[in-house]
Amino acid sequence: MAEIETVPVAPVETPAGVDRIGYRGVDAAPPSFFRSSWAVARWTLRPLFRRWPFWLIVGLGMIGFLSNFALIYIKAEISVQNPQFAQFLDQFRVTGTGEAYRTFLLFQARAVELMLAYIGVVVLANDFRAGGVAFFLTKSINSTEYIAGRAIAMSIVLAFLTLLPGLALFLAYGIFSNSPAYLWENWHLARGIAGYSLAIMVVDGLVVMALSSYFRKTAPLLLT
Amino acid sequence: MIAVYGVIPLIAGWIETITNRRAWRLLNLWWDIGMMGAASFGSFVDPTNGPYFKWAACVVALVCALSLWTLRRNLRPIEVVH
Repeated sequence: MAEIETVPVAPVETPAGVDRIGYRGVDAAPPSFFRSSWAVARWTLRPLFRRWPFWLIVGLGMIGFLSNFALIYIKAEISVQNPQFAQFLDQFRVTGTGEAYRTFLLFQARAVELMLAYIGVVVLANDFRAGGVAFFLTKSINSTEYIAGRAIAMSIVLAFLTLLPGLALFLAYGIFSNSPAYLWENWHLARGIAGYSLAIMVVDGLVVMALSSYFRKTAPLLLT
Repeated sequence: MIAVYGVIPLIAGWIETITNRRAWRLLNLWWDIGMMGAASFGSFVDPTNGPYFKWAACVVALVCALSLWTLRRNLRPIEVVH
């Protein structure tokens, strides 16, 4: 009986460039819906966060937040010494009521419009124009997961302008007011802020994505 | 002259009349979203807006459905390159 001769095989050396990019093999099982959507969202947000116009628009959107925050702080400081002046400040909607937060979110709509125009052009329209969609769909990502991923990314971006500043103002008012009971006595205001922000994020995000996929060009998208 | 002093003010007045009607504001998506926001706060800022809430919700739902349909229609896995 002939013995099987074993020949030691030298380990295959992979090119250094391949190692550097961290190439992985294809998974046997397809990724879950959330994992695929999150991958799209992650690769939407990562390049966006590196662009300075994005942070410029976020900064512009923060003007309303900062002015409200400053007025809340000033009111908390002054109300101890001069309650009449604190009542005067209430004319500027620094009242900690639902009307104040609703007005703040309505004011933020301008910044949201700017941000939507920017994202629509930079992320979505360019995706269609440069073939990014075809690139994503050749992976194990279907169109539903692509839409969900983009929607998650847009919601996170719009949350920077609506949900997070709104909740921060609510917390600030509760912390700076005389009674911390404000926070749990008015918890429905936090629910209102979340609801209004969610409406803005979902509806506006979907509309901009639909317009981008329809026009596929930057100029008509900016005009609409 | 008739057009300038007669027809144009007539049209302008007509447009102003119909845009002042609250029901026409339903066409403004921001107003509809604002209604959703006011409802999430548990109150309507203007009590007369109350009856329009369900219509605003319908407009928002319709816009979302249309957007999703447009997206699905325009997102094809294969692109034919000529």
